[in-house]
Order: sequence, then C-alpha cells, then structure tokens
Amino acid sequence: MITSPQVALHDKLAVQYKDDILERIIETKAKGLVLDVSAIDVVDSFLVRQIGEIATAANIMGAQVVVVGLRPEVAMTLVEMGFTLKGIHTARDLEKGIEILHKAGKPQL
Amino acid sequence: MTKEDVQKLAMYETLLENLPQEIFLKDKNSVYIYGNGSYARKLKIRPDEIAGKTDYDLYSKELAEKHIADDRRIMKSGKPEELEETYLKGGQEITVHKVKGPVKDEEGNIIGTAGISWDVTEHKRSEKALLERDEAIKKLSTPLVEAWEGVVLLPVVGILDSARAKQITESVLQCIARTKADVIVIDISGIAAIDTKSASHILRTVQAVKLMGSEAVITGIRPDVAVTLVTLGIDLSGVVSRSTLREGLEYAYAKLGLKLTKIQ
Amino acid sequence: MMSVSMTTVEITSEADIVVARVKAKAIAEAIGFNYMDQTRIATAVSELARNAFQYAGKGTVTITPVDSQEKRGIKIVVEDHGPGIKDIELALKGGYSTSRGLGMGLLGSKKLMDEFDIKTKVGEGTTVTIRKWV
Repeated sequence: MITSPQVALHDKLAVQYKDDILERIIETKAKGLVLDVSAIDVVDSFLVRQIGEIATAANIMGAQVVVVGLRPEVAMTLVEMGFTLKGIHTARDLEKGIEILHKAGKPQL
Repeated sequence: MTKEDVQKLAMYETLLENLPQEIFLKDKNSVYIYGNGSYARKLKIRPDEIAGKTDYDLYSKELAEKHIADDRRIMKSGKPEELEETYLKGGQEITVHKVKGPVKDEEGNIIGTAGISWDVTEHKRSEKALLERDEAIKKLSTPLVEAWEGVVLLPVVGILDSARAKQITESVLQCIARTKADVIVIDISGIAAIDTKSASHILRTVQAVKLMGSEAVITGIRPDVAVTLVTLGIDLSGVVSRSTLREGLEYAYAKLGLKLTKIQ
Repeated sequence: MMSVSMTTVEITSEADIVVARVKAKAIAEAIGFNYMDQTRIATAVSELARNAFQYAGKGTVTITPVDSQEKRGIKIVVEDHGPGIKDIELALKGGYSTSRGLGMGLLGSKKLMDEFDIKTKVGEGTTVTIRKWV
C-alpha cells in the first residue's frame, strides 16, 4: 500500500490521515506500507510522532513500513532536533522502498 | 465659534470619517487621542472607544512594543517615517503601509504622533510577481564525483570549519536527493584541521543521509585527526569509516553488489 | 524615510500553525537564508506555534527581518496568554510527562535556532523569542 500526502498536513488532518491509513491497512490486509513524504517540506515533532504511531500500529497489524523521499533539509532538521526515526525503515524512493519491504520478508504487498 | 468655524469643523470631520485610510493621533506617551472610523472598524471597536487606549490594549505585546518604539524614535528625530506591517488572520493576509509623523504645537514642541495607514496587499502581490528570483545555484567549492552509478565521492581538502562544514552538508544532501546515490564516500585525508563544531556537523550529516535512505562512509581519517576527534569526545561509533579512499570505494561497490576484477 | 516591516500571524486554529510556518519560510527566503536554514526556521515556528495553540488555545507569531550593520537575520516572537510554564528547566529536560510535546517543541526550536529566549509566568502566559543569523 502506497500513500503520499500532497497537501500541507496540519494537526487534525495529520491525525485523520493516520487513522485513514491504518483503517485501509486493516481493510486491504496490506503487508507493507510505503509512506511517501517527498512532498512534505517541514516535519516537526508532532508529525514525527504521527509517523512513529503509524509505524508502530502498522507493525502490530503485521505490516512493514518504509518511509521514502525524506527531503534533505527535513532529514537534517530531524537529526538536529535529535530525532532518528529509530526502528523505521527509510528509503530514497519508491523503488528502493518496495525493495526493502520485499527484503523484510513479506512476499505480498 | 462662528458659523464658518462650525462648518469647517463639520467638513474636517466628514473628511476624516469618510477616508478609507486609517488615521490616528497619539500623545507624547503614545496614548491614543483620536482614531477615525476606518481605524475603529479595523480594531473592531467604536470610534469613541479609541481615546485613552494604548497599543498594549489593542495589539499583541510584541507589536505594541514596536509601535511605541516607532513613536519614540519619530518624536526624537522629529522626522516622519514610512513603515510596513503584515497581518495574517484566519487565512487572510493583509499588508499595511503606514506613514507616521511627529505632531508639534504652536511653539514647535513635539506633543505626540499622527499616523495614516492603508492597505497595500494587492500592490505587494504584484510586486512579488515582478521580482525576479535568481535561479542560479551557487557553485560550491565542493566537487562531487560520481565514481559509479549510485556511488558518489566527495574529497574534502583544506580547513574544515563551521562554514565549510555547512557547505558540505548542503552539497551532500542535495546531491543524494538529485542523483539518488546509494553511497557517498566522504574523503577527509586532505583536511588541514577540524574543530568540534564541524566534526559534529559532519556526523549529523551522516545521520541525515541515513534518514534519507542512503549511506555515508568517511575515509581518510589521518592519525592526527583521529586523535583530535577522540580528544574532542566525538562519538564515531555509528559511523562507517575506512582508512583509505580505496577501501571506502570497495565498501561502496560491495554494498551495491559490485566487484572490481581484472580483465584477462 | 525609513521602512521597517513586521509580520503578525494570529494562531487561532491548527491551520494557522501551517500558515505561520509557511510565512516564516517565505520571509526567511527573502532575507537570504538557504534551504536548510529556511526549513530550520519553519520547523521552529511550527513547534512554538503549536505549543501556543495546544496549551493556550491561541497566540500570535511575530516575524521581523533584522538588518543591522554587522549582520542580517530573522527575529520571531511567539506569545500566548495561556497557563504559563511552572518549571522551564524541567520542561526542557522533558520532565513533564503530561505535556512532553511542550518540552520537545521548546527543545527542538532551541537546537535549530541561534538564539532562544523564553519568558513565562504561571497564569499569565509565555513569550518565546528566537533569532537566526544569515
């Protein structure tokens, strides 16, 4: 399952987005989730928390998560703030992301 | 007052109250004496409620302090000033242009300030559209070499100070984003000196590269540099490093499943 | 005649947090900050604006370009008339479990900017002033 937020996610929207994604994972019984954040130009602690929650919840539901397309300036800001997105797979682009999901041992997407 | 005086007064009042611009008068202590209809409407209060108020009553503390500082400056210099302020509220953006000047009495003493402001939002919008952005990307003095598809090499030579480290970070991260490199080999065998700040900066760059899904390998850490880093207490435990550029490249190729073999 | 510009963003909804950071980024770009710094500034503003909204219900973000002889930069003030913070040191250390977001936001902004100053009084509100130089 591939999801790519294209609009500026303000808090309520972000939480709703998270809920929607998790619902879809249950519905489709998806084994993998690719979260494409290439359109997001600012990621603050709130959004990081949401991403973390998506990953944790998805894992519990048996789906692997990979975050792709993190912008360079966003990656730098996260590192400077002390966030490492520990335990969450990251990849440069969609292709790599799917590769990682495959390698993570889940044959179905 | 004569009939003419009354008429004149009525005329001035009509003028001030019907102008779309916001007009106000403040005393020496920046307390409002008068504000016209437009100003009252903007503040969402009645015109008779303006007198006696201060900017602290009408605006945020930061903005109030600015207004009062502007007043003081203008009363001190005796010269009028043009100012610009932008407000964003509920999704609306307005830019306001203000002209404020000192008010003098008959003897020439400064007794307050007077101001007139008007909306220039539209004007600002077209100004922005006309402004030409310089599209040229700054050529940084950090040459990036593509050693193979997916492998980028960055030799760093000279003094590695904060400014340089910042420059390097930018090149590295933009490069990864642009070329989609899997591995970037940063060779520091040619650096003259390194300080704590730049070392931490490079480390953070390595972490950021990892977040983006690629990997950064540091090569060429000379013994003296290694000693400096240890003395500074820099933690290199999470960083992949190799002593020579060659080993760094071998690591990179191996990661991509490549091997260099001699042609028979 | 001199020209001094200041931008004020009122935070009364979550959408305003986005407005504030987009505006901060645009002004940062106009001042001459590079991409990295623009993002740092926008992120810091997002954190502080969110704190104001979440803990005080509303606040104001004021953005002023600074242009003095020696340096150019940006000054941002985020103020609210909310509950205030009882123990800043504790908040910055992440000690308040009930409002960990608050401390994280403050700490994050502090790390991203060059100057960070916070004034708070319980029952009156909080004002955070951050600066960054080109």
